[in-house]
Amino acid sequence: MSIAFNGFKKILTVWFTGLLVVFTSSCITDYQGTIGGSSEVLVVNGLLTDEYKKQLVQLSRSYTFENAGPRYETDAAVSVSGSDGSLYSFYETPNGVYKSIAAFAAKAGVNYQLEITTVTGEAYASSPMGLPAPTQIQALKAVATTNAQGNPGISIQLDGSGPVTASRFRYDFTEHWKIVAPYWSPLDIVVLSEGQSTFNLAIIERETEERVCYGSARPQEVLLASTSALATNEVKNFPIRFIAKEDYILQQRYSIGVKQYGISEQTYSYYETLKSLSVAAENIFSEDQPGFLQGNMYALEDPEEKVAGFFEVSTVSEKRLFINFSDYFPGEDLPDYVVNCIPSAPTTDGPLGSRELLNVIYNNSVRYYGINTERIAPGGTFLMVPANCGDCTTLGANIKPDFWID
Amino acid sequence: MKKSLTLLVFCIVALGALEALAQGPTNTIVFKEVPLNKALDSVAQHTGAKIYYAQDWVKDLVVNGSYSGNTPKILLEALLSGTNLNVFEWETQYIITQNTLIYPDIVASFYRGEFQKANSSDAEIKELSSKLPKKSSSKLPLEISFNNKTKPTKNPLKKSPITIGKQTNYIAVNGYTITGKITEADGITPIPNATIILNNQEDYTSSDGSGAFAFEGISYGTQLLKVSIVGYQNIEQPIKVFNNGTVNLSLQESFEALEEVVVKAGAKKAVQEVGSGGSSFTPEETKNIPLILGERDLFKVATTLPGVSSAGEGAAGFNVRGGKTDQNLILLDRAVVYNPTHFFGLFPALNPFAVAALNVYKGSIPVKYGGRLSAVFDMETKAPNNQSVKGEASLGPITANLMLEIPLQKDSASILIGGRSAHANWVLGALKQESVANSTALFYDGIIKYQHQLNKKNTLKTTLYHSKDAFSINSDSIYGYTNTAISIQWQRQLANKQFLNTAITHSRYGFTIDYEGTGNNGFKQGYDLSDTQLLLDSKIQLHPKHSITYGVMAKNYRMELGFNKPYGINDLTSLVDLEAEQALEMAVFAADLINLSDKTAVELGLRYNIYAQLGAITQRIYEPNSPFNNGSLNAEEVIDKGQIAATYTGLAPRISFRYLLNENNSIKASYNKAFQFIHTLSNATTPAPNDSWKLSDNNIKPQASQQFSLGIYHNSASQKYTASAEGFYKKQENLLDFKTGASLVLNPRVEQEVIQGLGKSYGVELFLQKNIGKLNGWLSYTFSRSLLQLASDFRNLEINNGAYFPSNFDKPHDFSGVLNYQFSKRWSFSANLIYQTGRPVTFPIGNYQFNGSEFVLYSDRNSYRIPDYYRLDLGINLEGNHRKNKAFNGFWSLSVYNALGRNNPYSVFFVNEGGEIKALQSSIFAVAVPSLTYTVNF
Repeated sequence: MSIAFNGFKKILTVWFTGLLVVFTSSCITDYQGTIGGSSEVLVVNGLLTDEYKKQLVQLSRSYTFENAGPRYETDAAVSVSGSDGSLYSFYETPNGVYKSIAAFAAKAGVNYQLEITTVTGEAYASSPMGLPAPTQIQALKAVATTNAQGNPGISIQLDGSGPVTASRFRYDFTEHWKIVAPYWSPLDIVVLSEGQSTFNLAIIERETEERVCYGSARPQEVLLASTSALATNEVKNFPIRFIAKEDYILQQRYSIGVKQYGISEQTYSYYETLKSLSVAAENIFSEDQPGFLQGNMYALEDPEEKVAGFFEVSTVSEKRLFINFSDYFPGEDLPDYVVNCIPSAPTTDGPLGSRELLNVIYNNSVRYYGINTERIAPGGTFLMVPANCGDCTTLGANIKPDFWID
Repeated sequence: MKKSLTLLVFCIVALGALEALAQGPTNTIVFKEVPLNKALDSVAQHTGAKIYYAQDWVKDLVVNGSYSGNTPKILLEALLSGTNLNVFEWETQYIITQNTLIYPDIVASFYRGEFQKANSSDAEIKELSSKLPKKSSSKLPLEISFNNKTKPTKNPLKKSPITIGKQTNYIAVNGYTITGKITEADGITPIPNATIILNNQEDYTSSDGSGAFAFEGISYGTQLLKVSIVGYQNIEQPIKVFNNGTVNLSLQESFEALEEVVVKAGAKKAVQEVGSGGSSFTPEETKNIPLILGERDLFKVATTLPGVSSAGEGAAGFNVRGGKTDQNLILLDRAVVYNPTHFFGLFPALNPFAVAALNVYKGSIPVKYGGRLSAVFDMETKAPNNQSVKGEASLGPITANLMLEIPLQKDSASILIGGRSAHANWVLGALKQESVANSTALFYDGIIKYQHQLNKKNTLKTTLYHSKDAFSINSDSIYGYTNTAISIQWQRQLANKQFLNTAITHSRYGFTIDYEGTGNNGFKQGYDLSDTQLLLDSKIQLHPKHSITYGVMAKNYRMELGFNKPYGINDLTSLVDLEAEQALEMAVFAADLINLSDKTAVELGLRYNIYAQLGAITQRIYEPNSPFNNGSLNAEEVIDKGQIAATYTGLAPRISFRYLLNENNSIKASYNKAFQFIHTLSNATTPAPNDSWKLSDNNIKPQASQQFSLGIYHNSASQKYTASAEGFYKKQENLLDFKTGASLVLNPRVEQEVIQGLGKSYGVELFLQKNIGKLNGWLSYTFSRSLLQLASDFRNLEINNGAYFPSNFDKPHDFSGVLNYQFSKRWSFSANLIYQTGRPVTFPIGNYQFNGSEFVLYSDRNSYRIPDYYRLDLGINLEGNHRKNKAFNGFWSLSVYNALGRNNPYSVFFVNEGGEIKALQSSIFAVAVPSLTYTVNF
């Protein structure tokens, strides 16, 4: 789901219900004209930090609405040069991600420039970017509270600070939560063969970890903070994330790792515009002026050529937090699982192609739970549960993250 | 009174023998208490002379006694010796004149432009007669050659001459001054904005708010005044000018005048006037034009003029010659109206019944107007009737309107009260949609005007106007805005040819958004601005060839730039209250209208603007030569109250030139410069009612504009057709635009979002109007471009790589047709046809992934266009019957707006439907909208 279009839809919904529909019944119709250029614009997603590591730059192309995702830019020559004479070359890894051959950290007082030459020979460069002053996350905390809509839940908040020269912050996080499949069985059912009048099923032991998994997510919005309007260069109780009390991700154990980037004025302004182009505008009367968002990447030969994205040079500070539901809502019931787990017992009646059990096994929508001896569900011999209930890999990864502490 | 004037001339033809009088013996005739006309009859009979006179002059005169003479002339002179009548002999014809003594020799020499004692020779008289106005009979040297046509005068109404001033033996070199007043048939109610034309367009003027007009430098002798204004029967009034004097003319209301959709005066003025690009309307003229939802709208009519367009239905404001909507100065009795529309721009916020006229200036803008770049829409309210109670009321599907004119003190003081309110909620309630069912929409406006003619030389006018809109989009938020305008005007005649107008005005505009919210996020948001102005302007006729306008203006602005506060006590909305701004705008101006020759006239105008932003204010000072952002913010300085924070001055020359090719054709050229110190903050693609205004400060420079225009104007000899072609080129500087994705609402450092750039627009405007006849109306076509350049040394402050690109209202082709067909005196049919190129828009052209999220990739700004706009409106109007003395006059109007049901896109937008991006278009009126309105006036 595109973030940007949420905004559009909201503006227009308000606009139409408020005015257009007033006088006529059908004001919104399909647009018949032509839209869109076919050119695929180079998208640069570069982040250079003061962490000592292999730095990453991702290159992709913009894509038309018919396409589900981007085409990654391959075989490009990528390097970062520093005003101190340093030069870091990058090599290509899957999904258009280019990694620096050597690990390095961005240094204060050096201006870095990202240089890209595509396989077709087009050259691009960023404007020189300096490293802002480092900032610190003072505290990362979870508070049981209610949100603006009055719903209870846990608010993840952050206190941060920086020197006087660092007043712009960007936040990014990855959240993980433990998932335990409630109707997991060590056994699984597989179809060995199926013919016109015969079929063979087998109950086997599961080969992979499918009981305990770890779900993860990243923010759905651009998180920015600015202290310039405040008396001190401190961010207090900045809301990073709100998790509703009934959200299943709180059921077992939850963890959030937050990165605070100290960003430059230019970076802040880029992200702020990116954000405002993708969220609902305040103005209900008319569409806000959209436009192409120019970052800091430019084509060297053709100044008319558009380049999307940004090469960011930032300082980073990181903190992690673990949450158990009972610590915040003691004595209260845990949130329900993500889906309602109703077992079923599909039959194997019928000719080839209409055998219910075999079909649901084929389309992977159920997992084996046991023999339907107590007739928990009407129908066939085997008790099946929805895939989410018997197999956590449908919801997360079955490898425990390195940082995870139980 | 009018009818009796039309037929007052008799022609008496003698049947007797002509030889009797040639050198005949002395005739003696004895009369005993005989009416003079009978006596003249008998003289004619006795002598065989042809005697011409006006019946009016001789009625009630009686002759008594015996009269003798050997020529008819002597006889007649004897007969008329005790009266104010004179005899003039021309071959065998005798013309009796009132007051006037006819000296053919003097008059003839006057026409030669010199004084000389000349003999009355045939040669001279012939020369004289050839110079006389065409109406005069070929046989007679002067147009006291009364014609005896008895056919009813239709249009215009011809009248017998009025003598002005006492005849003297000398003729003033500089001509004479004639003043007068145009009134309704009652002789009292003034008619403003009537056009008075002297001698087939030798000179022209129009009546002011009190119906007064003046001509200077009028030649000696007989002249013809033509008076025309829509809604009244035109008249042609011959005058005989012997000295300075007064002539008051009254016009009869005309129902036939309905056939004229647009004021003919405007048409005639177009050729004569020195300035270009001006137009004038009265609400009466727009009466037959099809309506939207039953509302008469002068502004909508104005958008059918070449060079004026609106962003579409539901968009407040209009774009004039490629200018932004905030560049129009909208005045009501000299006070600014900041938002002249109700309900998203669908209805005019000014009561059409209370407005006397709307004058539009888009080319040469008179020096007395300033502060906005594009155009002036100057509305004058009606002078309330000070004789009897008059009124007008209408009922339409959305609004009800009532206007009353009440005399308070006969002949001098009167008041106009107008009120209008919407009753749209039933429409909303009738709709099935749940989201709309909870919505409400209401608006109202009221106007009070008090006019007092203190004495002959002083008139006081005060106007109070207030409008309010409130609507709720869904049940928990209410949007509202209000306009207030107050004006006090004092018109004083200082001397014979000098007038002084003093005006004090106060305007206010504000909007609020009340959001109840869900939980504790409710808020109240608002914005408020006001201005107070003192304006003095004077007009003086220094010399017949020079007419000077001059004046001063001072205006104080105060803007509360916005606040946001919790809606209820439980709401957690944080309090924002932006610092208020104040400024003083002043101007001195003068213009000299010079008639260089009969054909050439030039108006040289100059307006000097001084602008000062005043404390108390916190001023932000940025690093020089760097973009405004918090990184380049060097200091914040507090400027104390009463101190000047920023100053700008500007000299705005305004020059117009006219050359009359002949009576019916002229060419004009003009140069116009203007400055603008207040700007709307809106990064929306179309204007909206919650756009706030911002004053120029140390970081936001005033906008400036220069315009050159050149045009050719034509009137057909019969006045039936008017045509014009105008070209313009306009360059604008420091136009306010905003960064892509700018956040303007409640932004305390809004200059960081502003990009100031250059504007360029040019175009050709064609206009053809048929003024009279059963079929009348006008066609206008404009080809124009409106381009914007946002270039900078800093690439992130550039839009479209700093190249010129089409503005949001660049509509190259714009055609309007307004036609009216008069079936009968009561029935008429009208149609509007509008076509416009679709406006430019910025489209999403794809998606891209960044930081793990999907974003939309937009095209360069305005590189696409929405589909073209066209619309046909139809109207049928039924006028009440034409009986003269009925209590009221009714008027039915049935209109169908968008009769073709064209689904004109207002905007194109994109939604994500199940992961698929779909382009949709919105339109305001996708179907034909009929409405029926009944208007009554009494």
